Amino acid sequence: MTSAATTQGYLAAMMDNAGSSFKPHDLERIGQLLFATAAEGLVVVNGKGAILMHNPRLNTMFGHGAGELMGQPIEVLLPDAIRSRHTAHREAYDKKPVQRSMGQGMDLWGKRKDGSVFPVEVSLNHFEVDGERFVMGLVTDITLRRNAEEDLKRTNQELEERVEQRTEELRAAEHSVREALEKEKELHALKGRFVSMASHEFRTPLSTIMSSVDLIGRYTEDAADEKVQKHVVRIRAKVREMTAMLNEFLSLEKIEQGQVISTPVEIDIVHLCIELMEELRPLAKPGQTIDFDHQGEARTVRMDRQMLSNVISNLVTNALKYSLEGQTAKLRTSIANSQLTILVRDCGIGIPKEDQQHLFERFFRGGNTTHIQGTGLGLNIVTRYLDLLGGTINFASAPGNTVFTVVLPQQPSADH
Amino acid sequence: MNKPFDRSVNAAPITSIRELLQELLRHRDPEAYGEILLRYAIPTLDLEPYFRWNTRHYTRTCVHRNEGFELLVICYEPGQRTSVHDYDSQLAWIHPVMGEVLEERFALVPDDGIRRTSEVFRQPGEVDRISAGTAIRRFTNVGPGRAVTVNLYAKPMSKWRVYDERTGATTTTPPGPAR
Repeated sequence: MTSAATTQGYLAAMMDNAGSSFKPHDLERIGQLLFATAAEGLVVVNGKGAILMHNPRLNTMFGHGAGELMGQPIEVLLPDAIRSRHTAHREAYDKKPVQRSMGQGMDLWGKRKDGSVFPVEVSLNHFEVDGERFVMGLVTDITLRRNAEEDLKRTNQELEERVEQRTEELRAAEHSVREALEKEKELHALKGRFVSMASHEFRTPLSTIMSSVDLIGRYTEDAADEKVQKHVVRIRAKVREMTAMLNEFLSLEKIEQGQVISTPVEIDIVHLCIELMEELRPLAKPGQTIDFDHQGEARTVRMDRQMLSNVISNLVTNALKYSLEGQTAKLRTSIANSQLTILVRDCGIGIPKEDQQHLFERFFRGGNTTHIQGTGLGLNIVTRYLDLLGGTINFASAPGNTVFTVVLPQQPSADH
Repeated sequence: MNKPFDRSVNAAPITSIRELLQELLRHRDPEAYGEILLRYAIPTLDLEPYFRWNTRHYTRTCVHRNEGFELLVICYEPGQRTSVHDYDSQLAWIHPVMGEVLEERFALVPDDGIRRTSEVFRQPGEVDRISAGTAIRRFTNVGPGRAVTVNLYAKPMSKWRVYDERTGATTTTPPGPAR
């Protein structure tokens, strides 16, 4: 409970403080000023709830003219729907008054003279004058704050909705991506199966064509029919080109499917190179030769025969393909420090500088090779096999002189 | 010069690779190698570990190599053939053990490349001796099935030369000294 005497004592104490510029006779005037200029509405009611006193701000807040509220029951400031309940609350408070805020956790509303309602906050206190109890209310218009809260709430809700919507969109996008990925995988597998099947199936008739052409060539050799021989040679060359391309597709597909596993065996590198020269010889242009030289005493290496053959074949094939008629491709091998070094040199068209960084990319073809048939897979396959064999490849190229150098570690012997 | 050997003049047949190698290692005279091959009676099963097949080209598998000789097993799928080739300063014996092989012989014609001079169909059991100066050959599997020949070179080849039938240009492969 706050009494008038207590308040006066409190104010007087402030007056006594050193440095205070107020005098005791200022107290009444200051009290009036505080009452008149307060930003909140101040109202004093008696035990019956009749308004005995209020400041100008309360009029402004509730839209009443000067003096209109005096003597009116405090419920005149409340919305109609809660007036009767408020009377009961007020009577209960009057029996057991405490200093408190009203409506904690509840929405409180005030009603203007024009009937419109607005949100308020109310703090209550009581005091006694000459034994009579009075209740003072401090009323704050919280319309702006409530609007800001509403805005914030609405914004939060909108944000939550947007987040929810975005999450849903992301879920849908993820689902679409997963579906697309699955389809891509299926397509990739389908493509792989198709390439594998087509390449395999194409090779069989090509092999038959080649055998038949060989026989035609043999039957007509005695007759020395140059025209027939010319076409036989041409068919052979084209069948070989097609077979080589199909083999490249098959090789790449097998590597990508993880179906290629290194199986090291003992290999006589000299006879392997002779075999490969025998195989590649038909690819040579008129007068082209392959010059093979193995350096050193050691001739046996231990590694995967098929992969090693593919590496050498691809490099020598390129050397022949990109060299002119009558030129020589050189194949050199040596074994030292448990490493096989393979060097393939040609004096062909060379690799343009701007193409060199892309040389081992899949399907890449040099700018100066568009008139020469090829898939752009050969060197990519070489690097894939070298990865599996633990080898490296380097090259240096200029027109008329291209050298590829492959270094391969020997696979450990099964006995070790 | 090609000289077919008479199998009947020699002693006991050789029936395993191990036995063949023992005989070859025991003799230092290359002329004896031909006599030894005449006694060849090794079951195909014994040779199978040295068979390799490749749909793209015939294969060459070394059975044994030393300073005196080199023994190879050559495997041909139907229709596969060697290039037109020779090997300098070599004595060689070609012994078909499976299938039918066509041997074509060629001669160098000055300023005109090479010319085919003759052909012979080789059957299992025959031994074809090839000496220096007559060595330009091409072998083709002309049978319906696979073909295998056992080739003996004395000494191990030091050079392999491939002829371009169209131009007469040659591709040379000096394999380096035998280990």
